[in-house]
Amino acid sequence: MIDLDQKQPTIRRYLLGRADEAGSEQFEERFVSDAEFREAALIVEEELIDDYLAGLLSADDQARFDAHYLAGPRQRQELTLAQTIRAYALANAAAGPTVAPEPTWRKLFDFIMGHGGLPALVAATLLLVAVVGLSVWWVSSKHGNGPQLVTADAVARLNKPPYNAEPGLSVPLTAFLDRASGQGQKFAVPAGIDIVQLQLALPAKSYQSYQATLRVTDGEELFTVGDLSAQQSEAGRRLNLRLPARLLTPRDYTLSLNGQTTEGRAESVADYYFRVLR
Amino acid sequence: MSRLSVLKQQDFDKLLAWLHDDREQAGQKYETIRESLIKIFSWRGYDDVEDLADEVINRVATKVRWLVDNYVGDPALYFYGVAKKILLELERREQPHPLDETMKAPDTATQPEEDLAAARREECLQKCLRELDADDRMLILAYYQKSKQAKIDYRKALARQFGMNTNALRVKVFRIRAHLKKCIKQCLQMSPQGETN
Repeated sequence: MIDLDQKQPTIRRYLLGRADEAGSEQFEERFVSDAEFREAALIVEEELIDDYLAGLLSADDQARFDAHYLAGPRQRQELTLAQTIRAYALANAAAGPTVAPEPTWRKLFDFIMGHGGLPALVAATLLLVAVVGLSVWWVSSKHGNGPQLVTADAVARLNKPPYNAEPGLSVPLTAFLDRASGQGQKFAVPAGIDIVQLQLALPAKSYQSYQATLRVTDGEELFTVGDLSAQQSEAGRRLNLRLPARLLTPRDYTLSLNGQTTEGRAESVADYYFRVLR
Repeated sequence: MSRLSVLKQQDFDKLLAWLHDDREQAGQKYETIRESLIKIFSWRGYDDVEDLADEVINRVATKVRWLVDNYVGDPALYFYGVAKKILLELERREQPHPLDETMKAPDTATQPEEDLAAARREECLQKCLRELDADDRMLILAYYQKSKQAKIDYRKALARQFGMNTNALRVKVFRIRAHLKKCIKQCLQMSPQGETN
């Protein structure tokens, strides 16, 4: 595996024109003859462009980027393309996973490795196996595999502001996907999360209010909830639908969205297909 | 017409054979070397980078019979040696011109033309996104969120969600983007305007 952090300073120095002639030749020799270094250089170059577009470069680096890096017409083309992808991504996926604090198991692992080394690690592993075994038994005996019973009222309450709790997971969903081609979006719902927020990207036409129906794909309807509002953000128009996490057991789902016109007519807006993974 | 077209087929075949015994692998190695040379000339700030790379290849090809018998080492480094010589010749003739403030906006495209080009780029991007695997599409759209420290934490979380470390995530995102950009460039070339930027 390429160690990008180790190679990054050398590569950025070259790309921003800070390397002297000997350093530049050394870089270029490695670039043509070392496949791993070549890929690292191309990755660091893209990330440099990203940082430039996101305004994350220091003033000095930014000036060098303008004066040195953008001197070549090819680099200006790359910048335009990167700008297009970035703008589209920001407009169509306002949030991915919610940034959760470091998991407890990771902190525990760091603590053990720092304090007891291997014997402590073995003991901790045995303890972990026991805990995981008990948890699996508890979860399977309590939840089973079918979707959990949740009333439409409960979903409606969850989507009525002011909100009492923040979602533990936010999942952007786009409507342009074609279910027939098996392109449904997939995600897992981590344990310990109470609310999942589906961020539904909306087409341009707006409606007074929206109604969402969730079905198990090719199966039963789970609920229909209305009086939902769209939001306008920097990333575009979207509707955030908050669901109890326990509803989303592993299977395929179809979410249908209807819009209520000002004349009171209901029109189909979009269908979203997604799969909840184990 | 490319300068490479003046290269004799016989010399080109010999050149490929020098790069690798297997013709397919030789072809891949040739493409990698050519792309690397193009990158180097671009990073050095030159304009006609494809022509410059082809000039390097031409010069190497004319010596390939001698090289087969006498050169020891990675052929890619020999190509680079010739590229350095060409860079020196270019420097003697003229310096590449870094952009200064006055050169930043020499764009002759009018606003409506630029709007049309931007719309075409987005159209191609959407088409190419639809061709991606669903997980790859979700990853690439999610990768750009947040900034500064939030971005670092966010990408750690994203890496965890996709079951990898951040280094592996960066490599994966690069490969998806490379694929996406190639698709967009091809799509733009097929557009009526044949736009490439």
